[in-house]
Amino acid sequence: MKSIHQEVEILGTGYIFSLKELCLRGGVSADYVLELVAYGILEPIDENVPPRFETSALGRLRSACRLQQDLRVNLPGLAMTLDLLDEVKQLRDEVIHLRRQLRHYQ
Amino acid sequence: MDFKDYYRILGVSDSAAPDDIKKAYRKLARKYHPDVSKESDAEAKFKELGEAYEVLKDPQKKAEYDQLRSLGAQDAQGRFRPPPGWESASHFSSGGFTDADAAHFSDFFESIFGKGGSAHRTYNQGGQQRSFQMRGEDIHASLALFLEEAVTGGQRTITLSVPEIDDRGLVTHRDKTLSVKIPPGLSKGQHLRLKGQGAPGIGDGENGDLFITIDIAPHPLFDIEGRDLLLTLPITPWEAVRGGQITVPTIKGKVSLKIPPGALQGQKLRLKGKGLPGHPPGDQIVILQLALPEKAHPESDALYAKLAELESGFNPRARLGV
Repeated sequence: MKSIHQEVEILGTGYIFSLKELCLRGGVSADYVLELVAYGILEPIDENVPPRFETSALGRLRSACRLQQDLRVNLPGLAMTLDLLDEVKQLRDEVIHLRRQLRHYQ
Repeated sequence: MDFKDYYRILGVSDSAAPDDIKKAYRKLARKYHPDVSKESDAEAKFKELGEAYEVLKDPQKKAEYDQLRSLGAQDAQGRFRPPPGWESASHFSSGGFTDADAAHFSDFFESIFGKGGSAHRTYNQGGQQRSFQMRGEDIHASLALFLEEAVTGGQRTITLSVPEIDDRGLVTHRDKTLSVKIPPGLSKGQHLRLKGQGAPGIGDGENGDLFITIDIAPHPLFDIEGRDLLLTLPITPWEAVRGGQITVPTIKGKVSLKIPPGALQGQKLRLKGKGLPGHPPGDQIVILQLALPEKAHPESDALYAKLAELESGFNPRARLGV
């Protein structure tokens, strides 16, 4: 199989998605993104109009779309689901971290 | 090709009522949704559930499937073998697929019901226009790096499944191998973009991009906390009491660390700039842990007795009230 060499671009803290780019990459309309912003599901980086987003917003947008499509969650439910999922992820990470620390004392 | 038991996948009996099938699907879909579940095979399970429900919720497809199942269309090894001359009465390309991701249905499904036609997952909730000139979809993947790789960078070969539209307008998948130069100093959750390496565009549409989310594999010695690296360092009681110079591993090689006299269990020492690279770089935090020899030297016992006598005023359990 042919292997292609490819330079990568790091999407660091400096990279920002415009509303247009986020919509294009997420395959959604601007109205949908603005609705997610209104529910606090997506948070723009500043007060700029139209809003601009960090790169992590794309992952969150994709999760939101999947959850809405697959589980038929409405927007308030979606906001709560994503918040709880964030919390669960944070707690899981913390459990892993603490367990790894604990193994030094066993 | 294995015979897929859609009833077993949904955990229902073959006499289950449509409502029970729907309930079972909804419950399992919540459990195995890739955005919710922590199971590593959640995505595969979720797709399987979608496929099973696609068949069992539709009376016509269900009847066809039941017929095949009752005909025993599988050999002794459980592999699927459709009866000679079998042809599905269902037509899926005309909007038969509703909410499941038809592009990912199994060969087993396709051998019974045919290919999913133009149906594929899109998220254009707000009515985005799609025309014959269309930008290729972005592909999202994750890549787990060893901590050393994340620090120093390197070359990694990754293989991706890229969706393509064939001449008949059907979605097919092709494996593509990329050699990716990993820049140094990556951290967990960071995103990389490989321009134009997503799905090919249609017509004059440009290719999609490939987004890679970085993950860092657990390291046997170091834990990561932000940009700092944590290392638990066992030391002897005499090293703790008397202090001294100790050789310590860091992610970039060994360094010498000075233990201050009177060091305590759990005490943290900082090796500045020895954490993950960055501006500023993180530190390595060394956590001291007292260790005793598993088997004491024959003469040690007398020395411990002497020590007990000299330190008789020390009660490590004072806080426990005993």
